[in-house]
Amino acid sequence: MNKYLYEKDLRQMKLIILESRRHDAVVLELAATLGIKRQQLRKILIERSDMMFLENLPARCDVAREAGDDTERLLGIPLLTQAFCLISKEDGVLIKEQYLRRIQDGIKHEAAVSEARMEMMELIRS
Amino acid sequence: MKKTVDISLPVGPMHPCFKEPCRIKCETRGEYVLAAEVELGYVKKGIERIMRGRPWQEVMFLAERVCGICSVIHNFVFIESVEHISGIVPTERAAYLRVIVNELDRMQSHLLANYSYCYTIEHETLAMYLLNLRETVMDQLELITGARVTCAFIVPGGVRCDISSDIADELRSALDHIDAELTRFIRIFETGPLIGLRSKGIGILTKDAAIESHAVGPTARASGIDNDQRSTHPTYTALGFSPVIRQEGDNFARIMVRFEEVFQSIRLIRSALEAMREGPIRGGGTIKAGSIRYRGEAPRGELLYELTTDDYGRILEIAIQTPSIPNIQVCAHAMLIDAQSAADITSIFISSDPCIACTER
Amino acid sequence: MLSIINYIREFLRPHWITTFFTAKTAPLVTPPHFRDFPELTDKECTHCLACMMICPAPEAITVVKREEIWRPEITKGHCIRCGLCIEACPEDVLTSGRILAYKKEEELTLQGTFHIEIDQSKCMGCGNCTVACPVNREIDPALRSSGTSTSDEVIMRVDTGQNKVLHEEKCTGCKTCEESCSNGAIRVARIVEALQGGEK
Repeated sequence: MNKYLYEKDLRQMKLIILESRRHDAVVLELAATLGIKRQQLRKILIERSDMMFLENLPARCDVAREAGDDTERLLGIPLLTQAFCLISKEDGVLIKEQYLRRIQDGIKHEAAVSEARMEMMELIRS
Repeated sequence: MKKTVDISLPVGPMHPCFKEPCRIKCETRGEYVLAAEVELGYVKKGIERIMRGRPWQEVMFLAERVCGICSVIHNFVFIESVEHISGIVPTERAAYLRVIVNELDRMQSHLLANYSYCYTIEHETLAMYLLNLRETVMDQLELITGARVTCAFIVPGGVRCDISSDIADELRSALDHIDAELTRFIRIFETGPLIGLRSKGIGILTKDAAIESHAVGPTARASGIDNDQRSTHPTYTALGFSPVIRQEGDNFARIMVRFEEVFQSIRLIRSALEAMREGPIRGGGTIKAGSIRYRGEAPRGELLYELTTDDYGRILEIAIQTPSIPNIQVCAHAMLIDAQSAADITSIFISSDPCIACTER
Repeated sequence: MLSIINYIREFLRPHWITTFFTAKTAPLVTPPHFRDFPELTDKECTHCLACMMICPAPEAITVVKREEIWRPEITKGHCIRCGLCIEACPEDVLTSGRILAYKKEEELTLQGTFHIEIDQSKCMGCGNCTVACPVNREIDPALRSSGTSTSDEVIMRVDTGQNKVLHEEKCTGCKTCEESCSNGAIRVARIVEALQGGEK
């Protein structure tokens, strides 16, 4: 998915795709769940995905919103794994398990969410 | 991050098998396809931006020009969405006339898609037969609306013009002709051993991958997904519509779904002609303020219009999601992977009926 | 095997064989129902500007006065052959394909109401729109020569550096003002209704 050949500079055209109305909405939504700026998320997406994938983001998000249980939706895991393909499905399950363990250990809800976010960002950046 | 591979194979932007420019970049080992990427941006129109601030009578024509092949459905979905905003209900005769023109458009689009598939697998005889048959459908469209493409037939509250009994008779005989011809062509297609060799078991799209990427239309229905917006449309349910579904998910299934849908369209038009009663074809009504997310079934799949209008009936915001977007994406990232031969790249791509003009609104 | 039989059956049909030996391309004729560029009939244009109001393409149709007669003129490069002007015209001045016939038969009309909107932050009060407006010029012929109007009957006029709309109900929605505005400050909202069967 993220390894391509002959890199031509497509960043401008990819940005045009991401700026359109529906795409902007889903990018904002995921940026809010990850706790980063939308420009940062756009940069990640432009580096990782091809144009056709970016065009299809809103439709994939529509499907992914209905997937997963409540915890996964709270953390935005279906969006990340299924719609945006930024982290693998196994990693998504791991993050969810760690989050549940932290809640059991008595860590506050907000702290657990922010730690899960950190983990997700690390996985995305790696 | 570059990948070390044996061959990197670009297909397009200009390719004899493509109707429109787009570039597929394949990573291959020998002829075995490892990954594919689709590059767009050759025919970007920016039509959503032009539509803003215009009244329906201008946006209607712009909507048609999103795609030249499935132009009627863009008109249809746009007008129905503004009708839903303003609470306009089309008259009964107009609703049936809309179905007739829309199904004629679907027939010509499916025939063209199957033509280009046959052309891609080098069965030019059958391809030209199908293209010739498509002309019959185009002539009927011209007879009813006055134009072959960009018909501009549907207006809020009704349609542009009525059909007389002479035109209805001519339409019926043309449908009989198409029915008879297409039955023979499908017999050739189904039993052809070389066609089967190029089509069966090639470019398999699994149900899970199709759901994940929100695949729509014949591409999804060939993988066993029951997704057809026509089953919830009031006029179609009145005509007794049920979607065509196949389970195989390969090239052959996709083409056969399209062929079967052509027969289904013929049946729908016939029953619409039967059910139609004399009556007014325009009900009037003005566009009011509101916003809506409205879906309709284009020949290629689900078409989504998301729009906001103001008090004077102008379009403030509009976003169009055409069916080709998910279909090309799922084709590039699920169907093309594991293709055994470089020759299959184009045939798999064409079998998903890609429309680049739709994709780059 | 079945495939070969199918091919043989296809090529042995009498229709196939006759067309194969007497192959001939049908002559290229434009069918009478084809919706071509609008053409003038011999009816008299009354300069109501309904065609300019409905036209979806920019500057495709203009009503001009030639030899003392008003007459719509079509710019073929701009016209998209939608045929809406034929339906909108109350005097049946234009015709194309079947449109005029079915319009008369089924009493189809397109009627609109209009709303002029001026973005005061963009408007610089140059008065181009007031001079260009064909209705304004009919009402106050002084606009043609002087460019300024003192009449209160005009649709709009520039007063103390600002363009003011006086009589919105007189607007015919012809969009001439939109096209003449250099800043894109004036917009005419055309609320059009597709009707059947005479007056509502």
